[in-house]
Amino acid sequence: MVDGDTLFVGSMGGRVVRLELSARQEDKRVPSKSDGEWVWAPEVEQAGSIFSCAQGGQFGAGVLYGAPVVGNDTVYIGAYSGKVYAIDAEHGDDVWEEPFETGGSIVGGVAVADGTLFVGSSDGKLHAVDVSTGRAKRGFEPYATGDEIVSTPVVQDGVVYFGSLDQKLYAIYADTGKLKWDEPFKTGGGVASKPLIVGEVVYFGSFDSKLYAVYADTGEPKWEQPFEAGNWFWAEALYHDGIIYACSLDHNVYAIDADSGELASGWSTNPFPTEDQIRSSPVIVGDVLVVASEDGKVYGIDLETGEERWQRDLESSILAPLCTAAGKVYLHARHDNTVYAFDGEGGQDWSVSLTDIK
Amino acid sequence: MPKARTIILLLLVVLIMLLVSGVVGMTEIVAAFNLLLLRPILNFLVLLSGYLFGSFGLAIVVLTVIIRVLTWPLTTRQLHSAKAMQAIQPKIAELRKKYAKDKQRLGEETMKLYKEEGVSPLGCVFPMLGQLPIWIGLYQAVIQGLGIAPENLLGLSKQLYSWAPIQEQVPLNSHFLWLDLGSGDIFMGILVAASMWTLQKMSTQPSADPTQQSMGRAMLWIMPLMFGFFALTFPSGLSLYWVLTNLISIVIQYRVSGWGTLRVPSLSSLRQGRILQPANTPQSGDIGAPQLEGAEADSVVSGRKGAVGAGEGSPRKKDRNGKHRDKRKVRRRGR
Repeated sequence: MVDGDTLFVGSMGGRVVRLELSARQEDKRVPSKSDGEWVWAPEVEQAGSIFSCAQGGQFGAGVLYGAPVVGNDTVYIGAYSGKVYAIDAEHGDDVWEEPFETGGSIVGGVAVADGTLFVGSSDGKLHAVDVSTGRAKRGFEPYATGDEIVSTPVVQDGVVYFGSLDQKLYAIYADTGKLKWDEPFKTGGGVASKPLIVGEVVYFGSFDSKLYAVYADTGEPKWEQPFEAGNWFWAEALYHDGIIYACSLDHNVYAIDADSGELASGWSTNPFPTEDQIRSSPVIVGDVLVVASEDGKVYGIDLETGEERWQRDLESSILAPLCTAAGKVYLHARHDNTVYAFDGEGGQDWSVSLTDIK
Repeated sequence: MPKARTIILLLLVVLIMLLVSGVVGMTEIVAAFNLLLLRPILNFLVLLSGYLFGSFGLAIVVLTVIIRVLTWPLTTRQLHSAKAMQAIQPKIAELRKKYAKDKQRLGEETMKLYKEEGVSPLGCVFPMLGQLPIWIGLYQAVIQGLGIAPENLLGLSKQLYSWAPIQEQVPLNSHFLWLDLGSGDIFMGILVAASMWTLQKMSTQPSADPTQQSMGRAMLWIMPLMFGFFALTFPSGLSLYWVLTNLISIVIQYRVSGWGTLRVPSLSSLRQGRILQPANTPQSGDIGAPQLEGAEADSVVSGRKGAVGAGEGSPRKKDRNGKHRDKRKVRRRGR
């Protein structure tokens, strides 16, 4: 998450790190605190041993999956332990007396709007937290779905949109927690992707390998037929100039006409093939769509033609969503626990090993 | 069966040659394993759960039973081979004693003995090797299917067939009885340890070698405790598979060689405050009958089941051949 000149990143080791982008020295892989390259890095969660992870049935699970969110000079992040933390953006101190606890694990990110934080949990509920106190929001009963929630919620115009593994997309009022539509939108598979809202339409993918477009107001489908890929949709889709860019676990990047739900005609090769599953959400930098696949390859795709402009191999799996600011792309590679910064043409600016920040 | 053995041997040789020559690497082997075993088993399991009220636990139960029934002939063959090998151990010991200084002759005579007795030293290994990939496939399928970490869930997308009846089952229902199949469970840990101890106790063959004896005694406890500990930490769906497969193995083991060295108190022994002393191996076709151990086995007339062990004050006396007889039987005959 980039906020101004600051990058906030959560690691699988349980740390949230504040990096100062302007102070970053390109030739140094290990950042210096005295030079102001990083400001704080509190350990919000203990990674624990393999056995402590397994006790909760979380065999092989990591610690921080969801991306942090910044608001009111505070960084909010959900951990796999089921706790939500609020960290003072300036000094890295805890803002709440104690973290907010959901009844399950948190895999997706959090959403903050109008003094309320929304987070989905594997207890199947969408929780609302009063950001000033860190306690459950009064008058909002946690909204129970039929299965785990791993999708990141999105708030727009007082309505929270989120998916559940019970194969449905929900739209509930942010203040009361009541369902907005007559009934949730049913798909043929679990909904894990973060919904993308463009105007009056919500776009989201499902485990039935289909990408859906539904009207935010009514929950009615926009397209005659949902767009179908060869495997599940996990990552959030992206919108640019009438085109939806969606990455599927079938290794392909699709450019889809937002109005018709058909493959867009502009790309010479549509879909654009990569060599592994794409789990991280893509970003657009200038006229380049940047996509990272699980095998560590980063692709720069020309938005107009769909041609590959550049490719880099980081040799470390990339699962976290990419983020962009001021013409740069920032991504976190999992195996080497390193943050990389690229420019729009694929030139690597710098990399920082989060493991070395002590 | 010799044909099957030759085929397995040939496949192993070809596999080793391919690995050594570098024509195929571990990646290709893992891919082949996934394609031929993991994916079919996992997808069948998921499909099965759809027909079993969406219960992945029931699917594990049914699939474990199916696989164990299908591999029943292999298992019994393996156990029979082990039993036959045990039966000729005294003769092998004699040969070792006789040809202690002539290793070549010892080898020749041992092979000759095997031939005469119709025993293959690898007879109990090949059936086990045949079952091993299936077990590993099922193990992996349970792990992949029940993993609740995002990595596991995403890993499932690589293994499932893109067939609607299968895809619709995701995410899999991880609740079965009192269990969350994706989490460890203390009761399942106890069941895994107890069933494994029972199976080990039944199948452990007593050895005359003190070193092997102490090793056997240690393993009898180490393995169940280790797996019991694993069961506390691994998904209980896997423990469910372990418990079921152990129980089925106990049934097969009982049918082939009885209770083995497991002490099973008979009603009569319980009445007399005594416990049955089983034999190391059944000496006759009396499969399933608990028997007495060592020298005592020769000196007792055992019933079909529940024979009473010899000891001071036991109601037995020697017959005219110097063998013990149950006093009650003698009295009965006397009448």
